[in-house]
Amino acid sequence: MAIEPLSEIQHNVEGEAVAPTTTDDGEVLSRGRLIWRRFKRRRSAMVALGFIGLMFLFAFLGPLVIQWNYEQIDPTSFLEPPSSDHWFGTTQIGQDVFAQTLRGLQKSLIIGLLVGLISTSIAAVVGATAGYFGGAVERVNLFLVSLLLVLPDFLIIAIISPRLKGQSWLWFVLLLSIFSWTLAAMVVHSLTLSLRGREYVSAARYMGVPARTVISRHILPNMASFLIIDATLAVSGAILLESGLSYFGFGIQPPDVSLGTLIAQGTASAFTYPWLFAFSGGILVAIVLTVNIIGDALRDAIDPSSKSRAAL
Amino acid sequence: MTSRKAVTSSTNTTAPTLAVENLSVTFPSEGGNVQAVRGVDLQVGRGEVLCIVGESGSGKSTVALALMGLLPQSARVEGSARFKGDELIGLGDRALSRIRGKGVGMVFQDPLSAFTPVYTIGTQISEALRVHQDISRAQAKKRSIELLDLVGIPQPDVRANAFPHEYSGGMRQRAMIAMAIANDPDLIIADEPTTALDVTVQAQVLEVMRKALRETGAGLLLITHDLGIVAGMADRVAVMYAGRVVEQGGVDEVYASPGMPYTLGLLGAVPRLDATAGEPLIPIDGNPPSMIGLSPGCPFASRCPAAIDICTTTEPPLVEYAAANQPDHLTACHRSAEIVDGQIDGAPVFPLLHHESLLPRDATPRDDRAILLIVEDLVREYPLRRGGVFPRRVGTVYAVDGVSFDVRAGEALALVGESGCGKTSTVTEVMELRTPQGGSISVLGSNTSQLDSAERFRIRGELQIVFQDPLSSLDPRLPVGDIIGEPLQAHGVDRAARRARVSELLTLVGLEPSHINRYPSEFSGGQRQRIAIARALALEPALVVLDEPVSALDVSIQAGVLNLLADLRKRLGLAYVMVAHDLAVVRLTADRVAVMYLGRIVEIGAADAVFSDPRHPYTQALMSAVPLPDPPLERARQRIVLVGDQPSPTERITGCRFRSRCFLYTSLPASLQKPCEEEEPGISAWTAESEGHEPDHIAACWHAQPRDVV
Amino acid sequence: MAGYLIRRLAVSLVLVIVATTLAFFLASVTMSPRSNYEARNPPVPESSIDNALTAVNQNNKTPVVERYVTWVGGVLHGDFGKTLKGESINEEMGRRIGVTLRLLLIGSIFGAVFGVLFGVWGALKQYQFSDRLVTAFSFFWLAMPVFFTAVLLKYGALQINQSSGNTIFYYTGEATPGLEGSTFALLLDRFQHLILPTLAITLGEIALYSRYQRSAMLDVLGSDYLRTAQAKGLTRRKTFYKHGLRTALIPMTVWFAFSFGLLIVGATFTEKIFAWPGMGAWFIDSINAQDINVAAATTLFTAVLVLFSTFLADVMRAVLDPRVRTS
Repeated sequence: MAIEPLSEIQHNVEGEAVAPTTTDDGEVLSRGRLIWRRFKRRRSAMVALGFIGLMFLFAFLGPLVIQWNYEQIDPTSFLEPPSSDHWFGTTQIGQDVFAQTLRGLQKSLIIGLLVGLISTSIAAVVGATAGYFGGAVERVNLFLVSLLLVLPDFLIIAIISPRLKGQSWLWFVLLLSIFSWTLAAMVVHSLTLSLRGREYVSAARYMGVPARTVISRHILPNMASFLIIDATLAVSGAILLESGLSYFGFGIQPPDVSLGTLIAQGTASAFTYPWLFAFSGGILVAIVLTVNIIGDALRDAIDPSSKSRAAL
Repeated sequence: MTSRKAVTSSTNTTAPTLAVENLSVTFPSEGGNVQAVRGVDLQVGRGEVLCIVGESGSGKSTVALALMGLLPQSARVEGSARFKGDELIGLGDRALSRIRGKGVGMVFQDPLSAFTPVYTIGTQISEALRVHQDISRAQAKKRSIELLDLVGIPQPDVRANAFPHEYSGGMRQRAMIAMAIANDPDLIIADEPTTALDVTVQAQVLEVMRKALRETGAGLLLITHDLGIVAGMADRVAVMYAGRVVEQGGVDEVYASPGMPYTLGLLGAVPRLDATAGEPLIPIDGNPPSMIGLSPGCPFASRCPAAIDICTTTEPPLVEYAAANQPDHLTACHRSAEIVDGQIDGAPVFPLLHHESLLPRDATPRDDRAILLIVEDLVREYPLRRGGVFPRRVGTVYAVDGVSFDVRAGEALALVGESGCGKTSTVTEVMELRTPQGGSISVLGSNTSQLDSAERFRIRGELQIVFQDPLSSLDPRLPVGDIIGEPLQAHGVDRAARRARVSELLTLVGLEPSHINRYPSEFSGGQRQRIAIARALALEPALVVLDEPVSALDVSIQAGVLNLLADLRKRLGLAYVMVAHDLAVVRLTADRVAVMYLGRIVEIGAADAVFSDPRHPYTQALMSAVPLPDPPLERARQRIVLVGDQPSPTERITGCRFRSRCFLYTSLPASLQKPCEEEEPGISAWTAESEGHEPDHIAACWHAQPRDVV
Repeated sequence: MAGYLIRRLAVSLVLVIVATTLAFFLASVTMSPRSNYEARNPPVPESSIDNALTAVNQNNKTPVVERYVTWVGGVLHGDFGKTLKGESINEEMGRRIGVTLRLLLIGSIFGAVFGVLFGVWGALKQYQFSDRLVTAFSFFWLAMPVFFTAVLLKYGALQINQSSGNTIFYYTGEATPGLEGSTFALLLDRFQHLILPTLAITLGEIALYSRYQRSAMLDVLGSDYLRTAQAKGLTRRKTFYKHGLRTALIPMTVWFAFSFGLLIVGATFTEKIFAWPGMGAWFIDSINAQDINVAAATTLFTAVLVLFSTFLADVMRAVLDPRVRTS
């Protein structure tokens, strides 16, 4: 899970355009359109966006198109390298690797999305409340984060995993979400603190606007940019964490497949059949990479004044 | 204390130290090329002080950076700049670095970040010495201590080993000056050196700068937006607008008879400490132009009341001013030949639209008017905490330490003081409408510690605030209509009524009602402040708190907003509590003044009384430090320069808290000093009534004496 | 400054205690050592199971709190208890700690040094080809899960070994057991075993460090004090090294502590895949074996390590940043 330095994130909140944003045709752009324009300019980001879209299509529509499904066994081909019949080859027991990869891709994508969404939502609510109201909530949050730094999430989830054997994978998603929100919540918290000091927040309070309206009208929307970026990076972080856990058997359990379990299965045998793990691994890396590129491009599009823009 | 006589350039016959010709700087940006500087010509003679004056966007700072080759790589610099005959533009980094710090010293505007945080000040000054001189580390150290002593840093041998974050702002700026003069330069370039400092600290630093110039015999290129500083420091002045010099000449000459409408406008728009109370300012309409894709013609044309057809097609060259009293007075205006004494054909260039006084003419005596706000012995302390997971308390900041005042219907009270005096904390306490840590607050007759939430809500409708920074006081994500309508919505006004009222308010503050759906980023700074004012007036409050309402705005825009505020007060019968650090602004708009120092009020009374006869030494120093935009007057003034820094608000001081910097105290014999050391003077330690003057003027000083400070 | 560090130490101690307690309770609740015996055929009588489990303090019939107290009592005397097989954890730990520490040391040093170098270089050559290269490199390796890197390295090593006919790269264990020869031969053997795990663990670290160092460096490059240093007469290069770099290293100390946690997880993967007998591999084995004591012991080790790295980071920060020392 990649976390950006605090100063860089605070840039995002404070970097608002001062001059009117008009294009050459005199058209006044709304903020959303402006961000999209800047995003479009990064070729790598557009390619990444296209790629992810393609992956989603593959994962969910692919199984409808191909002839094999992931459990089906083809007794005529065991451990066959990629061919026109089986595009990614077959496993030791004759399953189609392509179908399996698609299935694993589905699972990994869904888990990544769910965890990204849930953990960002929790982080937003907890962080904003802690930042706005301060006091005990703030201290508890601080303590939790320190605790979490001491015990990496992988270890804790691994310990809990035996209990999940035989349960639905949704519990796993829940577990991942629980451990992914604390760090983001800390950043939301500090952003809330800096926003709370903003004069338009004070002005709203002095008008008599109630606290919950102040948070929902003034604080959260102004953090939206960070929340979006965080959600994107949380997705890729979740996918990495899930595949690591699944690889060692602590995550997704059979008969379910995810990209992590596929890689584990593929490497359990000797290494002489690379197609068993290369495709799932390659796709895994590709997905994480593209999501990260999109997240990074989003950050630049939302706050171009930040000096530490990536060179890609 | 010597004052500087203006040096007129006609007596200076040697070659200029700096000669800039046709300097241009272009930056690439997202919207297109920004022509920040468009053909600037300047000279600085030997030992001469040239001030470049301009507002934001004029390109003045860019000129300084361009000369020294300190602009980012993407900037394109063209033209010529000769330092003692050697060309600077286009010189490589190595060659330039031989000149920087040796022939030319630079002083920057100081946020904390002008010094490297990880090295001591002494090390950094030594480094400046050793880069250009072949001396040992020990010798350099010795010399840096001498330099720190020269600029007035106490205990220089100890302070040389301190880090930048351990210095106060004023101290850091002095150290920066020490570093700039370390190698005895021939020219010092100072870019807004005192903008970030309090006015009394500014006076100290300017004094140090004058001393530095005397010691080194160097010339000074001073860049600032403050016309008062220019009046006090400059021999010659160059006024910049939209990337070009539009007027240039001896400082007395340009101030007395400006030949370009922009200069005229600036001088008319700047508030003066010695003005008559209530005299309206003359604002300049419109906003500075965007530097991307300037239209042809004079960039000031759209704002100039004297503009004619040729002004929009051809840009006027910088030529000799016909009506000048001296030969080197240049102006860039097509009509400058017609401008004499600020008038064209007998009519003023900037007609005075506002004939009435800014102050309302309410004859009701003060005691008979309704009381809107009473603050009694208000106390506000902040704990100082350090530590991450388990923070602990390490001290207390006594931000507000017993403040009392009242505000009546229709009057404007100004709270003035420098940073750390507690003025903002005081108004924040009032706005929060909660039980104070000490003392009491009563708003519209209700004590804040006895309010239930319904009453508090009701009072909020009568008490509103306008903040300092128009950029951060408006939510950038909401359209302007929603922003102004927010208080109405919170108090239950329905949508149709809201819309009508918002349009009404926009007109009231001088904006277009049709802009109701635009976003704050589409407005200029002055317009955004007007939106903030409209928002504050939405619920028709009785009392409006103004927290430094114009200090973030350019001078030419400021005047318009100040006039608006005064106008609204008269029309709507508002009362103001204004927090300000700029005494000249206060002079114009306030009925009563309270001067604060370290959490307490040290002098309070009717503005006329306090300004004409300030009694507390701090008030006197404060007024003495405010520069007047009038060169002969400014140069002739007796200046009071305070010694040392303000004590930390975490300290508890016995006796008078101003003692450590009080010039009066140091001049008294020991027997008279005793009360100052032992007992803190109450606010009525001195009263005007006791001397037979008008009663509304008291000061907290055991030995209050009159003094001529303006 | 001493006070500051001592306070941090005290806080760390509290965190270790809380963290380990949490882990112990968690493990006791989720893991079931009993299941090891239950699947056996012929079935083992329950009383035997109970005896075996109680002997190693892992009987789920004993209340958790009681087991915890026993365990803590042991730990305070330096005794971490017994594995399910009845072996002493202490002995095994002694062997394994060294392995893990060696791997972590290499990973953190290489990662930090090269990461900082790449990051700084990228910032200096912003937007030029070298910067793009560095950025592409870091993006790529940040997306590679450590276990997959390890897998690929193993695969690559196999191919190279096969095609060249020699065993150039070893991918199992720290050293060839029972190897006799000169010191040089022994060192070479170690080195051959070391390369792949090192790469697996450092590539990700380098990627992480270089990204953050680059952004920290860029922040510094735009700062006012660099401009002041140039105005004094320092050349661009000197300004950069003396004033810029020195200041840009400060944020890295903060990241050092955070990235150490990631490093430990990476080391765990690496140990398991390359069969290095370290604490990380043991942890994974303990989960599969449902051995509570081992899980608790390895978690305690991790916690102490992380807190030590945090402490180290604090010390480094205090050394580099005078603002922390004197404010």
